[in-house]
Amino acid sequence: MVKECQIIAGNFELAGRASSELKRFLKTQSHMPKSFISRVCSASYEAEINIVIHAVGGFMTYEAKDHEVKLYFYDDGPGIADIKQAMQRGYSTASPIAHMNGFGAGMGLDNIRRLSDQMIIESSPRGTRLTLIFKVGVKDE
Amino acid sequence: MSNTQILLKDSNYRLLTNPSFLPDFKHIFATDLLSTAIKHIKNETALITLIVSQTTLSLALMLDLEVLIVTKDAVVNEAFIMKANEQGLCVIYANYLTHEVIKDIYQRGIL
Repeated sequence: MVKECQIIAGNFELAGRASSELKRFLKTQSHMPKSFISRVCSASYEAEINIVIHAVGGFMTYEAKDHEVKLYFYDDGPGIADIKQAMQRGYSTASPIAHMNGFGAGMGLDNIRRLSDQMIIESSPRGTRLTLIFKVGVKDE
Repeated sequence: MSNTQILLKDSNYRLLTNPSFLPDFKHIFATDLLSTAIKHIKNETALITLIVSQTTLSLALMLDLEVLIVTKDAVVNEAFIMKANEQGLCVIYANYLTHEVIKDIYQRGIL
């Protein structure tokens, strides 16, 4: 099952809408532990906020199968100039508006990496694609 | 009696949401940086923060938070309270600064 949710750049009022929809769906999957759902949705929310803060817009798709969830985030740029640097905790190019909303301190990608079981980032000036894979396992005990 | 009810016995705390929903909490975590909350919050934690925005509500939803304590000087509007009620979140306004809330919870033996 694959679903798609739009993410609007700069709109903090709607930030979290895609992750909320994901959470609603995952809660219907009775075989998935609550802690797993919380882990997936927390990472999803961080990734969604990243698009709101940094990109010119994008979307998320998700698919769930058995004990695995895959999330794909796509945005339309401007891309991450130096992924290695962006992965460093504390590095941030976020605006003051992001700070006012409690984000933009350079912890997002590190949080996402820690919460997910697999994280793949591909980026160019035309946009960034983030793939996250989650499997029910020891992180959820 | 839940510990939110005990907290509200002090008139420096004001319940902003549905009075019939006063859940317990087992931990508190104070931050104005929501990514830190994502990183560290455990189950049944009350979040103490000055950040009152849609991002706080979304965070609460993602982390299954039930209690939010907003500290002195936070501006809470009706739309926020309405959304918090829809979401089933207990929001308490504290006429204390963040460290004073923590100190009070400790001194009264609430946790």
